[in-house]
Amino acid sequence: MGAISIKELSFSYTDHNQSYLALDNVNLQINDGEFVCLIGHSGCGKTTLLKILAGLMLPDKGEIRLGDRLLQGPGTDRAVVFQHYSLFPWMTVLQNVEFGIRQAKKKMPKRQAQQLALKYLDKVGMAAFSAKYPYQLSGGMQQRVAIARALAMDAEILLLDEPFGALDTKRRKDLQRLLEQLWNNGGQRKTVLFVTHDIDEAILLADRIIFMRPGKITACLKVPYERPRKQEEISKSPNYEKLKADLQQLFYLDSELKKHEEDL
Amino acid sequence: MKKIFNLPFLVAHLLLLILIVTVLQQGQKAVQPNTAFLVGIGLIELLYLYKLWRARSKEKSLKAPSDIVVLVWIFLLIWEITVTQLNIMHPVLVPAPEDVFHVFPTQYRTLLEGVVSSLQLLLIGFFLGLSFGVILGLPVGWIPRLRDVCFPIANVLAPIPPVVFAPYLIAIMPTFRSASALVILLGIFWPTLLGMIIRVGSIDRRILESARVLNVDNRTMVLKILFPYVLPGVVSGLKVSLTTSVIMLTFAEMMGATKGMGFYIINYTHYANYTNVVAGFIVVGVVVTFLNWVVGIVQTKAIKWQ
Ligand SMILES: Nc1ncnc2c1ncn2[C@@H]1O[C@H](COP(=O)(O)OP(=O)(O)OP(=O)(O)O)[C@@H](O)[C@H]1O
Ligand SMILES: [Mg+2]
Repeated sequence: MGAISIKELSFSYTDHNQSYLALDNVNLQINDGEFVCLIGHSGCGKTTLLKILAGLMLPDKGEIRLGDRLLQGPGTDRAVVFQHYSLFPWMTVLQNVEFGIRQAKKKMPKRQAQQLALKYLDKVGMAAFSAKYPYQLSGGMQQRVAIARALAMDAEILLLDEPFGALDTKRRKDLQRLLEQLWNNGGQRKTVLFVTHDIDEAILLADRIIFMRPGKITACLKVPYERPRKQEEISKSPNYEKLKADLQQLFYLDSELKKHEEDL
Repeated sequence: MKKIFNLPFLVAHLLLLILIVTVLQQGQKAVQPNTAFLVGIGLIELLYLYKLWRARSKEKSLKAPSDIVVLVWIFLLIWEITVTQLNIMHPVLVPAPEDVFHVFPTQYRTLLEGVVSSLQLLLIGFFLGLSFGVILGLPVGWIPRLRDVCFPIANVLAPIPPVVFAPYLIAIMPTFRSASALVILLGIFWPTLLGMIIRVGSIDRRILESARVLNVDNRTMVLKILFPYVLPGVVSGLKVSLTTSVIMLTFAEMMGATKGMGFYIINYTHYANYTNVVAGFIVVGVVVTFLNWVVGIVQTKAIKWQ
């Protein structure tokens, strides 16, 4: 159901008659229930890929299937958290989450939707702020509400663009645990595509880590650890350092290549 | 705590004293009883004291109300001295303040009827124009095909000032009142419609994207996303729209009404009764200021999320 299959996907941005190839012949298979982390340098096309999967932009070439259906546009089978805060400023925190829930589940009564919204706000530690408007919250708090909205929609596929970027270490740890638990969904796993810049976070959460260079996917690493994972345990395991070094190498190599190009 | 009894306050009250004493003198010119003028001065003083009191509790500058009232007293003093006391102004063109203020107690019925009649037209035209503009503007701005048709048309029609076709509308509409309501309506409608189309078209991309990933249908989009999104713009434009409507209204009334504020003024201008004309100016000023004050309250209360 939640499998994603991307074949020969190309996408370019065009403004002022200038075209920029942001994704160049990308191929990727994500299995149903798989947790995939996407890492890569700033500007390599991670957000672009996510937005296409969210149905916000149509690919120029290639095809994307969700399960056996061709992707044609946005849908509530996918929940999205954007890199930038994306709450509706005229709705309170509670109304924002409730709106998301009622979009995903049109038949759910208002009261029930509100209770569900409160439950998820509580999970991200924002229940006390449910009557506030977004302008009254800090960036990290807004992001937590956006996460609550996405998770409360109970979609099969989660598309998360650096959702924990603006959070402090403790919140980040809490939400990582929460995400892993909601993803697991009592064995009925959801499919997650998660963009991050944090290598430790990627190793902690992912079944597989995908590395992108501008426009392309260039590496793919499996993360073998048992679940539920604990940061302290996996960082002691023998191949952790190697995995981490490999990933760092990828980042490093890329900047080396760039430097080389500039020198020429 | 800020001091209320500062220098501007003392100057203002010294001037007030001089003004009252002057008014009480018998002048060169024969004028109506000065009671109404003195009551008017008293009302201005009360308003001033109220503003001072508000400014004190709100930590605003205490000087501004005093400075303004000083200017008002100077103006009234010059008016009183040059016309009533010394009688050196044109006897017809510059009426005495006593005479102008005397119009209010003697003609308050006519004036009040005029104000009510004008306000009815104003509010009908204003609200209909605003509502049509917003209600049509949202879907037209949102649905590309509608926008591509309507935007160029609106762009051509909107800049034609409604005062230009007001005489024509008065000629073809069955009653004068419907014609002037229509003039106001059109004067508000076109700018509102254009503003809506542009604002919807330039909606914040992040808001649009979050709405789209939540898979909202067109109806929800217009009602739950676009409408609240454009509302602050509409509210902040209210004062301008109001001013436009007042201009449109008084103009229409001067063209062919049989009552209303504009009619009152133009009618007495024809009779060269400038005492009544100046009294009419003051009424229009007070009414417009009051409307602006109401709009200001609406503006501060309407949008809670900014
Ligand atoms: N709306 C746009 N118009 C034109 N070019 C764009 C647009 N959005 C992104 N790009 C370009 O596409 C490329 C990929 O952008 P994208 O936002 O996908 O990067 P990213 O990997 O998400 O980066 P980051 O880690 O900084 O978020 C960048 O080079 C960027 O300049
Ligand atoms: Mg990005």
